[in-house]
Amino acid sequence: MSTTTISWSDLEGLVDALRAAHPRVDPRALDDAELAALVEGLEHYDGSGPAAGPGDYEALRAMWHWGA
Amino acid sequence: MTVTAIEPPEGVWFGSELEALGVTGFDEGDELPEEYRELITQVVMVQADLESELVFDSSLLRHNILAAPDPRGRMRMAKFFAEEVRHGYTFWSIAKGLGVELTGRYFREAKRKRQEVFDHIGAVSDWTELAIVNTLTDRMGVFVFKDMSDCSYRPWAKVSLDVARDEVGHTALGYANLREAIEKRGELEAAQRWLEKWYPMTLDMFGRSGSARQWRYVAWGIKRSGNEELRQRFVAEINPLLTQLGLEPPDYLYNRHFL
Repeated sequence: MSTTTISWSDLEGLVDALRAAHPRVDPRALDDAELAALVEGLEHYDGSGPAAGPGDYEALRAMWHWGA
Repeated sequence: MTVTAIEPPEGVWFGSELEALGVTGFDEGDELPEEYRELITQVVMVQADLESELVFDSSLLRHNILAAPDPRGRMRMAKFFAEEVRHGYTFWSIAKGLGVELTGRYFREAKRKRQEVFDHIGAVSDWTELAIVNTLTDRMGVFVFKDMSDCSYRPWAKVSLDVARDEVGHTALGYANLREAIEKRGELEAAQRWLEKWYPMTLDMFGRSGSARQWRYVAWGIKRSGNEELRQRFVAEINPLLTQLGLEPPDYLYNRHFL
């Protein structure tokens, strides 16, 4: 069975996975460290790429909250 | 030019005046000490001046919404401004509770000078400039409202955390739009130009570092921090976000008018 890897290089995929895993979470209430913990806890998360910077968390927060 | 120290004067701490009176805070309708009433009304009016006009004339948002380059951007901006209109109503209600009846006429005819900078925001029609404005000024709002989340005027404390959370969403959206403008549309040079316009204005919005009044807010338990402390914390947070996009934050004192 194949699995889809989740990583920072696909922000939309990352947000889809976070929404599915944490449907009641408001990302505006989480700081970067808290967001990082959720990301690292995702099944199939691949953290082998470059480390996310503060702007990556900000963009993640925006996409998660504002949708589409 | 230099900036002054960020510590309150001796004998002043958060709520020191309240302690002297033996109270922890006030609710709507309470009899307020004269200085307290003046200060809390000022705090509310600064925010009402910013956003309560939207309750009377929401067409002010048209420019900003139509500046978005695509349907997704316009949808997001419309949601964004729905929250701003809600804030406008909240501030209008709290002002009313303090005996200040804000009307459409007030906003049309009697706007105070300090709102001038915010008239610039309403006039923004360039998407990249708007992204810079939201990245900077809405983040300032996060700092300002979080700092008042345990304000001694309880109706204000009650709304401050909610407003701060909304502003977290607003500044994140501004940043995401800015990142797209730079990375997908090659707008780095334009973004740098807008940054140099808005960065000093945003730093100025925190207020003068040597203001005597800032410590009266602290003494009455309305605000926790002085202007300079908040400004420095803002800079520590915003600069890494900007540099990650290839932008160069201007010098701390560049083009500043209120030190």
